[in-house]
Amino acid sequence: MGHHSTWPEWVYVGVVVALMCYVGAEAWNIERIIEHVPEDAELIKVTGQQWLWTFEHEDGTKEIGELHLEKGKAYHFEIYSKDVIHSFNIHDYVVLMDAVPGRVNTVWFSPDKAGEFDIQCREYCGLIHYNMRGTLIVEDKGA
Amino acid sequence: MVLELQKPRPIWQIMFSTHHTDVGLLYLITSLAFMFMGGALALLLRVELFSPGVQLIADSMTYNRIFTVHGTTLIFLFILPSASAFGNYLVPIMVRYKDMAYPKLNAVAFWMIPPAGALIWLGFADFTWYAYPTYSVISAPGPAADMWIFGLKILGVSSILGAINFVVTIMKCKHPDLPLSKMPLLAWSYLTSSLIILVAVPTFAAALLMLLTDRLGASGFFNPAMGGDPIAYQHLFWFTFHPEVYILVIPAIGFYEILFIRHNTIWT
Repeated sequence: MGHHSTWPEWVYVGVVVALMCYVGAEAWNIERIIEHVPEDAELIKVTGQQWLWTFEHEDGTKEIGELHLEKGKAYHFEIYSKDVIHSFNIHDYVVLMDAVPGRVNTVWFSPDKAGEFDIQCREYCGLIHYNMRGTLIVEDKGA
Repeated sequence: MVLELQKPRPIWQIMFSTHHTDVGLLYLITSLAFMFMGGALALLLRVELFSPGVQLIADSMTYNRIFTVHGTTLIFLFILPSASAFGNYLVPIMVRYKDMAYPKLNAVAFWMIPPAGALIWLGFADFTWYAYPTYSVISAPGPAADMWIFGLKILGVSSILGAINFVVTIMKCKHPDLPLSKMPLLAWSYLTSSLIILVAVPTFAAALLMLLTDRLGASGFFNPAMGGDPIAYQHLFWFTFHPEVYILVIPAIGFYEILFIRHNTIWT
């Protein structure tokens, strides 16, 4: 003990610290980019309740179980819950945010493909949680 | 070392013993039994999910109850007691003491597990292993949910008693000729995970009480209709269960050292 060289250990520690700093800075930067909501994003109020989703557009139209959006536009969601915790998930667009009673959570995304996508509840909410689904319909108005 | 062969003893002598090897054996048998019970529930779930549509479980509430009791059983009634099993058996030997510091307390900590397991299995609650409010407060059907809360409460007290016993055994009953720096890493790992239990678990014990009084309508800690916040429960819960990961993995790391480094006869 005490007579062997310690520089390989210090090189190892240095490499690990440098890697961690890089990963931390990169993650912070990506987080900053994806949390920035575009200014022209349309606001949609999403309400979860046992066991269905309700969507309210900016112009006051309401939809139950179906959400019609336009391809290429940005959408900003305010997520509410009427009873227990739900989680608003559009799997294909990596949208996932809890609906917590007494709180308003927000998330945004911009659909870049037209078609039909699944909306589902991702937080256990009781008897029919397994079937608390909706459909996202992205329409291509430009075509 | 002379190996002493003992005559077979009747089962009740082992059951009512307070000796650390007997209690360790009881912990091991109990945890293995719960492992197979939790595994059987996992098999039911996988059979149901084998293909789309209904295979075995036509009722969604039954399915929800099965995955809840499966998770609860494997985390609280299998992994935790199995760590205690090996710790009880080995730690007193490794610190060269005749038994755990408090043998009766040790037996008490073990005997809290079967009634807690009975409460969890007879109740068969449905609110997942983490029991988030507000579902667990305003929506989860009783008495299953209340039995689950009482079962977990008992298991929490059992872990805290066990942890106190390990800390005192290692810090106070260790042989004077054995310095901490020469103590096997496995004993160190039990000391560390017991200290983590003492810091982390009381928070969940408090959260369970708050959940219970919320369910009774006597308080509204986690119920926004009464001015509470469900996220408060999630903070209290994860204050316990993030460290819980280390409570479970640190003894395993201790075993790694014992099996593959200290007593390595394979790769030398």
